[in-house]
Amino acid sequence: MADVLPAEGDELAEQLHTPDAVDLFQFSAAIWLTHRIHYDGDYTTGVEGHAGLPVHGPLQAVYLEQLARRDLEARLGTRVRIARFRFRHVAPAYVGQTLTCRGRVTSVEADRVNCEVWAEVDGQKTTVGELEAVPAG
Amino acid sequence: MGTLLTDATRQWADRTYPVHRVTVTVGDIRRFAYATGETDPIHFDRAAAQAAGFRDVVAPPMFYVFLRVLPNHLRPRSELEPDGSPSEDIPPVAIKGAMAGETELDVRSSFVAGDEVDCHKRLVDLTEKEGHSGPLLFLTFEHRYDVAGETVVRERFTRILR
Repeated sequence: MADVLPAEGDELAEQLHTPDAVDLFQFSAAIWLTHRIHYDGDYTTGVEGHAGLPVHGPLQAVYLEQLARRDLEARLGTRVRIARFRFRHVAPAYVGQTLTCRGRVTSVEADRVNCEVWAEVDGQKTTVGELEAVPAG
Repeated sequence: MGTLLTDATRQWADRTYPVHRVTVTVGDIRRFAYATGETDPIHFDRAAAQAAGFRDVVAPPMFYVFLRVLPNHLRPRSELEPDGSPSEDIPPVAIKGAMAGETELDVRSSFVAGDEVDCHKRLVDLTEKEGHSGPLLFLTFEHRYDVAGETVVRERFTRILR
């Protein structure tokens, strides 16, 4: 299916995530992160001045890594591994907000695919990054 | 105009932190995989992972975050600050706040259950820049996660103090 192979400029299939309090708890628990701002709403809004419980930066990075991995695995019909990933958080995302994850292929060199990826809430980017994917194994 | 980069702060350049060894379990990988919505059985089931050519259950790429957070946060409750975090082992600067800067990852292979991972941490750069409302101190840390002397993941993470 050569026509589905990734090519420069291709958009990645968009993915939506609306993490709730259970999702934030599970991520904190899975990495043993004890930081209160991801589970104690009264503390987070009252003391830290946030608008809600912030979605972990690394969880947003997971969403973006999955966005590229799942799109490219579907196109290539093989497992894909992220080899390089550079990202930064540019605005907070809060529990209950919908993160729209998007990206596009920026270059293809042999079996290496480079993509730019980003997550946005209501059109405001929250995390931006670029990554390189290679066939797994 | 103040400065954050004092002589005491400069002495932290190239600081190496203690190495922590973490033995990765099937449970550690399953928890991370469930928490991040993975469905591929290679992250949950040993037979499926082995059929795909792995020695045991295999971790998703961002699993290294567990290896970064665990050694720092797994400590007695009495050592946690009111915000639930351990106090940070960073240079003594009078700061009003901290922000996460850029993260850069080099992922060479995947962690597999049973791996004994040596978690290395080093402060590789201290740079002061002038921001809109005063000086900003950029701290760049390098975290390296090695199994049997081979680096599996290398992370450069910049923290911005103001």
